[in-house]
Amino acid sequence: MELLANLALGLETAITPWNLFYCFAGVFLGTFIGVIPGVGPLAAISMLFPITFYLDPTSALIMLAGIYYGTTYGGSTASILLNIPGATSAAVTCLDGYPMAQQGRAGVALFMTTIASFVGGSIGIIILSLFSPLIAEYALRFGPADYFALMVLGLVAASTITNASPSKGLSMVVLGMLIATVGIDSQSGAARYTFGSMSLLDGFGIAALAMGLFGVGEILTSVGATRDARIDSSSAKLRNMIPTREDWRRSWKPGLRGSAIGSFFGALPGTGPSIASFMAYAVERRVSSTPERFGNGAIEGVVAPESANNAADQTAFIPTLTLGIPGSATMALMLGALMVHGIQPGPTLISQQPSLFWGLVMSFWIGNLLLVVLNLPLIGLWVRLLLVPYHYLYPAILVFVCIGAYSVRANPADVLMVLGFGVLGYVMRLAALPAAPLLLGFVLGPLVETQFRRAMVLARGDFTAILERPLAGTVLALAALLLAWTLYVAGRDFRRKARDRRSSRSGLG
Amino acid sequence: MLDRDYRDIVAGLVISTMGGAAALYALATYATGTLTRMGPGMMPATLGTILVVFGLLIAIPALARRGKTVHVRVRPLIFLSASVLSFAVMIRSVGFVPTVFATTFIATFAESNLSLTRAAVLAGAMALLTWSIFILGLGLTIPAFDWRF
Amino acid sequence: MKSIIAAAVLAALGTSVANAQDSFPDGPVTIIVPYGTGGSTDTTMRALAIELEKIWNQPIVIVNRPGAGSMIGTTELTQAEPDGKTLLINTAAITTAPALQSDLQFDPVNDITPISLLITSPYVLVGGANVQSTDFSGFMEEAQSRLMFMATAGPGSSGHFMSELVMQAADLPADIVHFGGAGESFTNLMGGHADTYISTTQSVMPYVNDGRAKALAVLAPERFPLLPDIQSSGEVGVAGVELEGWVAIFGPGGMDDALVDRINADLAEAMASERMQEQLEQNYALAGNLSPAEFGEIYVRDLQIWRDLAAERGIGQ
Repeated sequence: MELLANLALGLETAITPWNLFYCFAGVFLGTFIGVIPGVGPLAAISMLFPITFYLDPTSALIMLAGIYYGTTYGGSTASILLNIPGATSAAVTCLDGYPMAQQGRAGVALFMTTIASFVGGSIGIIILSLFSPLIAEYALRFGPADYFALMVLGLVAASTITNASPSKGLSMVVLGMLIATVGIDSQSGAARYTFGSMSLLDGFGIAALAMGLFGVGEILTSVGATRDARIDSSSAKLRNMIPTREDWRRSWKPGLRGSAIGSFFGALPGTGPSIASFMAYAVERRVSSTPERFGNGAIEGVVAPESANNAADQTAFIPTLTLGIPGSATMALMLGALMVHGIQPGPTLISQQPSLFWGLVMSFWIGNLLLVVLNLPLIGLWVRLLLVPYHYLYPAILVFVCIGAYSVRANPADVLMVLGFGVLGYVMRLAALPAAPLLLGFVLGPLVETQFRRAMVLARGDFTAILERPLAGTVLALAALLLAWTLYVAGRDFRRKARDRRSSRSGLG
Repeated sequence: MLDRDYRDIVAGLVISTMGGAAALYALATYATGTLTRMGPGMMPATLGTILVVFGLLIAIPALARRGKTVHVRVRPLIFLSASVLSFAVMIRSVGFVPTVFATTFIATFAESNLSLTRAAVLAGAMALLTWSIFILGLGLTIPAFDWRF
Repeated sequence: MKSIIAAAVLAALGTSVANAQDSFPDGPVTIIVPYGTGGSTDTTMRALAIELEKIWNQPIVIVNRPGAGSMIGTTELTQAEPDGKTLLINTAAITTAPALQSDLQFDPVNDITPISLLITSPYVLVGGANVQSTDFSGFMEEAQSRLMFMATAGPGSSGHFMSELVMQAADLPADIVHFGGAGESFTNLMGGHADTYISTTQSVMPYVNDGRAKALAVLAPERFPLLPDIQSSGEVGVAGVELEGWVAIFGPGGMDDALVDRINADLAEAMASERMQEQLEQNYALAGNLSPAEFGEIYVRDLQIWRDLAAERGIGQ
């Protein structure tokens, strides 16, 4: 019953007219800023952060949170329509969202994204309000060795997310990990592969990599190519935006699984939400009876990462608020907004600031609801964006990408990096090398390396000590099983294909 | 059709070369450290070596396979690169509005569909639009015009 | 002809500098924060800016230039005109990072003018869940019986150098383990994966106050007046670790002395404001109140101490 009283208190805080206004303003601003290609949540919140100085802490956080999932949602919209992700999670949505848009199903993809976001967000909020202190406590048990094991499991599970041959997919994962080593080494302070350049000291940004590989790579491929009539005006009709019964049937399970995966990864302070969407996508592809549909516009490939991402966005507040430990750069900004007002997040936050904590929880939910209300009618507008002739659209996208890349650190070198990754993305397309595994390696690589090196320091160089930890040992065993199974399936498919080829040849002969 | 899959042969060899170069550079420049305290060179050297293997795994099977020709379109590559380059070079020296104008204008040359007038109108519209979003709306601290003559 | 123009330009520059302290500032002042938006240095600067705008009657533009342990923003400062209209706020990281980063594009002594020490506070050694002792003397014994892991916010951070200094001064058989910032260090302290962490009062006291970490020692010769219950390293007989953490304002190298004095005085006035005093109290910190020359001595001394320590203990090699 205490929970009900708490939720009532939260609702009371959240639905004061001013807080409602800030929630709406945040979601509204966020959606429109997020849709701008090249502007991700981090850039948007950094730009709007100073506003919070002039608001009381609850309103400030409500508004920032609104901007946060508004931009995340808007980013998915841009990814699906134009293949320009501003963040990792959006890059995963691109994998199937963009093919759907090219097949004239952009409306359906956006509709399901909205629903998946709401479901994922709601499940994340339920977990946030029920289990916050418990989860925070449990997350503390994860030491460097356990995170290392988890990241290895992630690499094994997600390295085959595309239809490319295993050697191509795996080589791109490793290349991503190698690219991520550029910059100051987190464990020794040595500058790696920087060749004396200040701009490279912090390595490559995830936004620059995602926008370059996917966005600029896409533009380089499409411009000047013969385009089949991309989308006609009929796809902007309401009838063509409503998902079919088949779409719903395919979507509900991935949505729930995605929410669960997202909630788990979001709550761990050492991983953050970006990994959640990769994992959700990888799991769906694995459990699907038709994995070959993935990458070619499978609705599950949109629903799973979107629900995971939004669930993770909510549970990421658990370590942020109850431990004072942000899981991502965006969460660090949220912490900053609290500290500006002298509020120190920590285990006592819930008891000392109940109206702030529960007000936030309820406003998160109201924000998610507003997102649905606001965005369902907007889908038609977004889809019409595709009716703009491409020769007007691509210069505009390119400019937005440049501004987005520049605005993060005000460093022209970041713009050059986007160009470099764009050319790399183009060359990779020519060579049929998949981009998503590279991004995955880039995200997981530094975590694998850093946590492994820490774990080895703590274990005094004894790897068996890592295996003896209950958490790390179990997870590594799981990873080994999964790897063995993957190799077995790959071998079986290879033999089957070879047999088919032989039989078809003999059939012809 | 080509008699061999040259696309994958080249891709595999390029990957192997990159991996090998990265690994050798890491071994020559950074300490590999001990098992307890690994140095900065350990991971890059390992990753580079794995890349060499994977590159060969891509290239060798392609020797025994027929392949398609790959078409590189040079015009978009040149103009789009020039467009992004112009942004990087100009943003610090002439200010936001002229930069956006130039970037948009140059980008339109990647395709031949637009007349010069239309390209200029598009570039002007983009300058106005982005200025109102980023500088007016979001308060980005970049000067709109920054002529230093 | 060329030399005449050059002379004229120099003269013009000279007069403008000479008059600078009277009319300063005659336009917006840019202050570089070499850390991300929302961090502790950033929030301190934003609060300070509100007070400075009242004193200077000019807008203050805060630009965040995070990266490379604050060295990206610091490098940008050294490339600005020394007219006082581009300043930098930084922590003691400005003295530790140069000891580790060999390819800096500026000279930390000549290309930077130390202007004003805003905030000082001692470093505090805190212990995590696995540390049994509650004070420094107990900890010293415990550390002889079991290998302690000292968490840091990253290689080259002030906490890293202080940990090395403590190991050296107290002859501890401990080992360093690097995490990504204070937050991650504290999670690992709370989870018992690492044992100690060193940072300034502002960073550690919130964790100490609600019991997430134990304050073992104030690294100072005597107890800190604002935290009288915490043992000092001096009273346990450990000497040579008495450095203080600080936040300060810097300008580009070669600034006019009168202008530096003027800015120093204005900053002192801003720090005396109710808003800043309240912030200091919250963070168990003191206002700096030093002349530019006095602070300059501390700055150069600390640079040297960290350089020597890095060479001696093989840090970054």
